[in-house]
Amino acid sequence: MRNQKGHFYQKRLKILLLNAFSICLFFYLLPVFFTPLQLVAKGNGVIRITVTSAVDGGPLVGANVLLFDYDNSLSERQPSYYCVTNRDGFCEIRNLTTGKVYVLRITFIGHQPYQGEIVVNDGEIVFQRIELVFGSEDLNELVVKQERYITTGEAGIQRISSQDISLAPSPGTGGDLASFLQSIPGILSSGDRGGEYFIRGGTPDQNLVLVDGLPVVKPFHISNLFSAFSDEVVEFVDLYAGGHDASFDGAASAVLDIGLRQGNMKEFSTSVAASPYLMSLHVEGPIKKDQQSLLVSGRQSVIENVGPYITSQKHPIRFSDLIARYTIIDEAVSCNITGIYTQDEGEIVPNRNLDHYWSNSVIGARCLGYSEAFNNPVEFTIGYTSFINYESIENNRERSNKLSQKYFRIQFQKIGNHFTTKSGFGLNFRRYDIALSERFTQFISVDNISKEIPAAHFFISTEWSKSQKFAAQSGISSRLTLDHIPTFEPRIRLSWSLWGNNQSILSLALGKYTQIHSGISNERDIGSVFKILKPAEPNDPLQSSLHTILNYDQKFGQSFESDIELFFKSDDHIAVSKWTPEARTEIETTFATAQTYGLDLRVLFDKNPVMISVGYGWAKITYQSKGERLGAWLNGELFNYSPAHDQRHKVNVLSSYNVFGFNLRSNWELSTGTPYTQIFGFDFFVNIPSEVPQIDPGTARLLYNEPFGERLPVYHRLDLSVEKDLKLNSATELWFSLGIMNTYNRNNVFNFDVNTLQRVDQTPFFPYLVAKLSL
Amino acid sequence: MYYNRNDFLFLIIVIFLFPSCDNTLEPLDKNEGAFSVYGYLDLNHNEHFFRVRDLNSPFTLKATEQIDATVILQNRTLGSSKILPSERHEYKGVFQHNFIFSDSAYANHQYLMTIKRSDGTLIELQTTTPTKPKPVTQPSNQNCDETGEFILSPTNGGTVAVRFGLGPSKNDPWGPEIILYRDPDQNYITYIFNPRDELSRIVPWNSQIDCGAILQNETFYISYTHYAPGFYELLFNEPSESFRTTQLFGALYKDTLAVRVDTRGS
Repeated sequence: MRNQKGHFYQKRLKILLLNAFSICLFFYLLPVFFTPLQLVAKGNGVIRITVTSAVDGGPLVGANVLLFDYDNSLSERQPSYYCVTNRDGFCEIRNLTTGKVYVLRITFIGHQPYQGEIVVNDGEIVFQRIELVFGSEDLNELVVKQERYITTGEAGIQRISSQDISLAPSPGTGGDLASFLQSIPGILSSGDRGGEYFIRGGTPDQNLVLVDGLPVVKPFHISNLFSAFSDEVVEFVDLYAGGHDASFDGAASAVLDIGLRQGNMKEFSTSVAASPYLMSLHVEGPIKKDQQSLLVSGRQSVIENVGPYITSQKHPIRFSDLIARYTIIDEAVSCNITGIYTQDEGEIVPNRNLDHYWSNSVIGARCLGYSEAFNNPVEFTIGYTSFINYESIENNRERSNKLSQKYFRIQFQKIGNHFTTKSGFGLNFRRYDIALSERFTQFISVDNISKEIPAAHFFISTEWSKSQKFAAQSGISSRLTLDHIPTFEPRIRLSWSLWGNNQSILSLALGKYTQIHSGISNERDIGSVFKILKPAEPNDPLQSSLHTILNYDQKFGQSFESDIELFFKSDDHIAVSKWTPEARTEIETTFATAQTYGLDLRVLFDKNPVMISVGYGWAKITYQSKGERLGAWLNGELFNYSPAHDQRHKVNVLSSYNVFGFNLRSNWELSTGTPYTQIFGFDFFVNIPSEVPQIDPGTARLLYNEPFGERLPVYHRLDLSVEKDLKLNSATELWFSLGIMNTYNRNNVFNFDVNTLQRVDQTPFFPYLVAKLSL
Repeated sequence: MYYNRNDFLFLIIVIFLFPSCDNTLEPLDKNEGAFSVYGYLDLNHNEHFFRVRDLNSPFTLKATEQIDATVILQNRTLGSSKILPSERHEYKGVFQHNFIFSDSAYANHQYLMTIKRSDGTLIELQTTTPTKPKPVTQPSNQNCDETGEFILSPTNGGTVAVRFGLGPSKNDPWGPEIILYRDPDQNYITYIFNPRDELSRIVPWNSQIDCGAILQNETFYISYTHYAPGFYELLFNEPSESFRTTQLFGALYKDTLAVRVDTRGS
């Protein structure tokens, strides 16, 4: 007993010391960000460049901005300075020698290079907005990289462009992020319904989705083929399957950082589209040419009405989304105001009479200020986001969960020649409202909750890259709430270009991640996606995770790339359902730890007209808890089990082939089955001796076997499509896609009805025709 | 690029191979726990009902219309056995099947219930009926403050649940149930009681216990249920796994004892 007490105090002391250290370190480093950077000061000239596309005025993300000494021949191809444009198409070069003439060269894939002369006078900050014209670039152009942590092929990271999203055949009105995500090894969806994504062992509530910097809780639709993000609205998506840097807060598993497209700054365009799944309307155009634009895109599902004609099955789901983005760009600031609304409802398992509903409402603004008033660029985000989720039987709402967040964040960035530092802080006022009908509150370990949790987040992150060969990024993230001691979350990323030519990159990411709330659901019932987002009780330990990711990326020329990634995640204080022999509507929870390890392999060949991407993922997820905590079947000892999202193998082949103006696409996936819990039996329990068999009927009950004891059958599916663009006249275009989902009509199991044992399969053979008219 | 016939053959095999991959799902574990059983032998009755249900049958009328079960009750002490007839009742769209043993059950006899399915699946449940000894309370005609003792001997390991009450019927006031487990070193159960203390538990709202006023006819009652060894634990201990909670077969009897108390001066 004394030992236990001593151990407890030692642990508390250790936590206190760690946190004291993090706070001291933070305040020690704070002045660094509020004083001018003088690390390699050769001069005090500054240029700030915004690179946009001449086609639509949109920012070109990842463009190379190179400064050469005027005296040097460009053929030497050794720039004196360089930077790479960020998500706003912006980058900055500091410490330029004043009065000197430089040659400015800007290159971006698929665009003609820009070249011009530039002189910076003493104390001056030069602004330039450069438009690149669409056309073929010089393939021998020097390519530089900065901000390595947003580069595909580095530990845990994949950058997804709107072109990538278009690659996966989709029965929607164009590509969709949800369809593409399912082609990535390490990502598991909950069958073809439910809008749940598990990333490398992490549960959906452990993922953070940011849209233009604003958090959105569940932007995935009830049909897992769709999210709120079609290829028409997405500029890029940075998928951090772990190892994300210190600027991200509140995601124990993964981050999806989505940047929306800005509306066309040059001209108006409209498109209307129809498919068996949904209809869409998209409008965008300049409010003030080259300065302000608006993009509005909306989609409404029609599958409930159209689907039965195609498959002779019910499709009792409805969903819609609306996205609007207003963008303003001038010489001092780039701002966008973003609004998102999504709504999903329907039955996950048809005929079960259990309706689900969830909705996201988001409104917010994000600005990047780079006027002379700011010594360094400043980015701030402000917004409100709300998520509501409920489950109802015969139109009676049985349980609901609401999370609303008022959100403010400011971020500073200092760029040196080899040293870039980011710091920032944010405030997030979260409000959790959980309402459960009486029958759920009887035994559940969650009461009705209405609670506000203000949280402050601080971070500091420094990237050092002495040469093109090596880059190191280290940072600390810390969160302060009234209920818990401050968190201390160190994060490190290292990247080593083995031969200095970016063809072979070895990278490593390590970090600690915590989050305030846990997602509580009945894991044994795949037919229900209702989830309670429950904040940790005051002074209870927070859900936390340690990530280790090692990646090796090898490019062979311009067309061939391979990538292997090993990962290990160790999670603590995960809320899991207790085990009971009887199927119950209420959920009792306890805590478990989890170990996830695995590897992802990716091989990509991309040379017009052919693109083939092959991915393979292997993972093992083990949860562990004390038997006495988990409940039935066990006594006392630690118990290991594989949860419902433990998918061992996944193979995916995505391909595209352009021929005679047609685009042929295919996506084939094979994955091994995930664990499920067998039914032990259907019983009427007679509570003898107070009930007697000759009189009392007893109580109907469904009995479960030991949890997750069996695995679902292997899943595989082939989707095919052929697409064609037809130019009807100079302003009108017709795009159509003819495709088949589940080409060889594999009966992939989704679930079974626990009461009737009726098997519920995923989408059968589904032919479709999509047409989109663009004006 | 040239393709030969073998390439096409391979392609066709692959295309037809994938859909034919094993795709079976077995949501129900049919290997374990074929039947659930609820019922007990009551030593005070000569008709005993046992609810038997096929655990693999969903909750539908059609699936439960017949039960593929032969139930045999064997008295292993006497060496006799009987196939039990059944009756069925419909309840909320599901048929329920009761098997009936129309005979007396003997005390301290070993019984074996066998439930057979036509495919040979077999469930065997065994119980040893309670010893049903004559209960003893001592001393007789005790004073309300005098310590008394309730004894059942021998019990052969069966648990006894005891309640004290003011009258013999269910509607009379009764105190809380007291569970008497067998002392591992002894083959009997004993409970030492004080009438006044027991009365304070029966009528806890009375701050002062006046034995004479409370006890009609100067008598209180001890109701007890004597369970077969292990049967009480099977019924009331927290179930740890599905199978155990469906196999509730045992034996018991209930009895009530009138105990006279000398209430003079109390």
